[in-house]
Amino acid sequence: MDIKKFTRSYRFNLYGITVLLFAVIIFPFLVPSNYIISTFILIGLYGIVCTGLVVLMGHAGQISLGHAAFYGIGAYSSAIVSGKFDFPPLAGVLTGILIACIVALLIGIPSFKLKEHYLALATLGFGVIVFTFLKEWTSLTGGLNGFFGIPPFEVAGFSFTTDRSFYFLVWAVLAFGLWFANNLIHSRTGRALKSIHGSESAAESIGINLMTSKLKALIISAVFASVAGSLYAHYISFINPQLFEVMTSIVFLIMVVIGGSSSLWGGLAGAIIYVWLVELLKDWVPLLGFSTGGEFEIVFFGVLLVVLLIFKPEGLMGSWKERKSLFSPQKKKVQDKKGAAL
Amino acid sequence: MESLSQLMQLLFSGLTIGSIYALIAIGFVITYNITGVLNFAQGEFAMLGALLTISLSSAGLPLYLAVILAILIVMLVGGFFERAAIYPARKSSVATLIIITIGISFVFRGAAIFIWGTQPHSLTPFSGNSPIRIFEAVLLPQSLWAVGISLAALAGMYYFFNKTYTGKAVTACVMNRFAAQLMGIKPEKMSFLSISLSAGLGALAGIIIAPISGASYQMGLMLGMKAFIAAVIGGLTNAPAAVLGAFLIGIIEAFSEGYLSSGYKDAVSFAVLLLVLFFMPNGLFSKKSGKRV
Amino acid sequence: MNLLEIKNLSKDFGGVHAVQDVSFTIKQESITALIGPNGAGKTTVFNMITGVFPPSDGTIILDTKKISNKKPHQIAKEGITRTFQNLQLFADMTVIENIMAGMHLLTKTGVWKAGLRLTSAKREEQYIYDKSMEWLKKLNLEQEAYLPAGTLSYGKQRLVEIGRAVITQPKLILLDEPMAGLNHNESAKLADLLLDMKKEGNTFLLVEHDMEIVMRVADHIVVLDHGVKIAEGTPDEIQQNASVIAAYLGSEVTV
Repeated sequence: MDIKKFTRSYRFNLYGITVLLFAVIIFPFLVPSNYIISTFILIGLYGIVCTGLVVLMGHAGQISLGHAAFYGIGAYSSAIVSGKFDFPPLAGVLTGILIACIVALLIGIPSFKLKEHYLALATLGFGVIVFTFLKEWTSLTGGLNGFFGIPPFEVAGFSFTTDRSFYFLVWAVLAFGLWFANNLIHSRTGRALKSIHGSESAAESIGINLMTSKLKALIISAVFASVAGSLYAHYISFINPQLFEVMTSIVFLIMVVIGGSSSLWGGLAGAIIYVWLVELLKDWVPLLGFSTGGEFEIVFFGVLLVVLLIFKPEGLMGSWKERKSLFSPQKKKVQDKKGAAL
Repeated sequence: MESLSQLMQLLFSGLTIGSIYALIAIGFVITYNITGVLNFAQGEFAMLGALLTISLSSAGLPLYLAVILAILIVMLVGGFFERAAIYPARKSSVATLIIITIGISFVFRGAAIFIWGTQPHSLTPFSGNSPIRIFEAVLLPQSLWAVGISLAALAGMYYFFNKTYTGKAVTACVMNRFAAQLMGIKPEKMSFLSISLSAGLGALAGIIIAPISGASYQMGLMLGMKAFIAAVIGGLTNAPAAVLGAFLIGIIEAFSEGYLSSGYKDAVSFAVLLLVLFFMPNGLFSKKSGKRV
Repeated sequence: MNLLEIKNLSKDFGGVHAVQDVSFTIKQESITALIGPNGAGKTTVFNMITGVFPPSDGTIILDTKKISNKKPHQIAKEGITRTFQNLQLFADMTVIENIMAGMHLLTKTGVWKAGLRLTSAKREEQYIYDKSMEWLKKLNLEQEAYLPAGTLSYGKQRLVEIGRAVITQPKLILLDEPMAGLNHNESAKLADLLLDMKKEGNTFLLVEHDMEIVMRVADHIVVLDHGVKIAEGTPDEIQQNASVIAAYLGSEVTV
């Protein structure tokens, strides 16, 4: 037997990425609507963030309630570096990546010393802190008034000023992200992450360093989010702190749960479904006689999240694979807590 | 004596808000210890309690009746939430359960918008609005109500868990689930009971604070998160420590609002959370800090 | 030559002396068995050797290097791997992935090389795969290579766990009750495998309740009771030792 059979799912994903690239190129010629192109830019950006989250949640088994903060770090780094100090946009993207890495280390090292749900708490707290700084540090960020006049993204003299050119840029980055994640998942590092997810004590017994492996996953997901945030800032040219609130982190989480964190494609699938559902709700809810469309969304996604996790915990892409994910039933840890309530 | 009066003023407001956090934090601790769930929807019970009381009292019910009825309804809602969402997923991983409670909090918040809209509502204070002066500081009667009711509720909880049969059964479940099962105590029943009890406590907290800071569909999120910080500071497994943590967070918030800037209030509380998580993961008041094997 | 040297090892759990002043050595290319009634402290000794928790007192020396107080993954790097009493397989991963994960220490591709799929990463992946397949053949698990490990029979899961532990060719392999849950036939086969692997140069330390197997495979036996070493010697010596017989008769007889 040779390695061909082993790498089947790897190659399947590669074909998938190739097909995706073709579809991306043809799509704008079939659907010339600017509105649809703009929704696809959004899907692409969310897809990048969620693909990073798939590595963190589906493979390292950790949840983050603060990825909007990494998204915001990228957006504000780009805004400040290129909008305020007039450096080339690429410098802003790199600054964002660098800050995201440092912050991920600062959050990750103490969190991973602790039990499994502590990353969720730490990232939640970190999200609120980042939000506060974006809001209060007005001399640098513009505070709640927002940051205006972010220049378009530019690389090697080419400026991405139209929606269509930006659409190609975002989806090219996403395709690269998917390719990178696919390589990683099917590698020594990916196996180490899955091992930890399977059994921490067994992973340690074969020499896997739990701390550094989990950190790698967190850093990768932070970098993905930061890059998406940078691109978003250049696309929209105006940002404000509210875009990067805790709710946004939870929205990212919802996308990954809907799509399924065990599949490479879960993040992208979740982003597509989320964005379309939001658009559909906008059209349909007023027809039902409710005027509060935006709020109806909240209930809808709340119910969807609960129902999915109870009845289809592996997410929509989960059925493509036999592998179980973070969100599959597992033996509940024996409760043995010292110290009673009251 | 300007600075002293300001100090007293901030201390009073810290204790008031701290007592609210304490009630919700205890709900967190009870739920976490009995079901293993970190209930991110805990704050929404406060929101439901507050808004229900406002509706019931404006429908003509006397305040005390409105309060009792609202608490009972929220307890029922809490129990229903346990049966509908927590119970079917009880074998899922911690992460799944956390996300389920986040989903539930969305549902509650959305339902509140349908019923009460997005506008804030207000509730008349329990007993007038004429301020009391102590040490040059102004104290609203509602603050006294808040602290008083919280302490009474805490005492009631203490009595319930240590002196009544049902309370002892719940405590037994926390200490040793298996042994409790052998004694004929059903953990499922305890899970139901604990969440509905936590919901009642949350509702009470929301009702108390409504006359002070108003009530709206979105009040639950921050209340819940702050109470949550308090519970973590207390080590998540110890209710008295969570109460201390709640008062501490209340006071820290009041002081950072008074001396720093109100904008930094939330960041300071969460910075405290991170510091505690990172340096004293078993809580601020635990004797030993170190890894549990 | 002594491979592992345990000197005056003790462990207290809040006043309870789980292990007290235990010393023994393990020779290269040998099978040493650690036996004793339930609660004798065997698993505690295992956990100290593998770094799950540090000893309260005493030292553990591997090949002249002190390894007590190191973390589990560092111990693995020093050359000690283990299996677990209650199987700890990566149940959702396939059998071959489990074995491949065992190769972690022998390989070094990092995030960037893997993520960008550089040639060196591809080459290493092929090497990991070939080596793992070789071991699967040796363990007679070729047919199951692509099945999720959790779906195998208990006996085969044991083999996968052992394969994962031995693939890096560590200096010492600790087996915590390898025969538990196996039927007579399966444990006899596993015993043969262990003896074969010893001939190939592997060294084992095992905790085991099945005395028939212990007497057959072990070169050296260390007996613990209530955290204290009560005897040590060859299987023949142990079978005749009065205090060992007393310890076993005093509790449950598993012979």
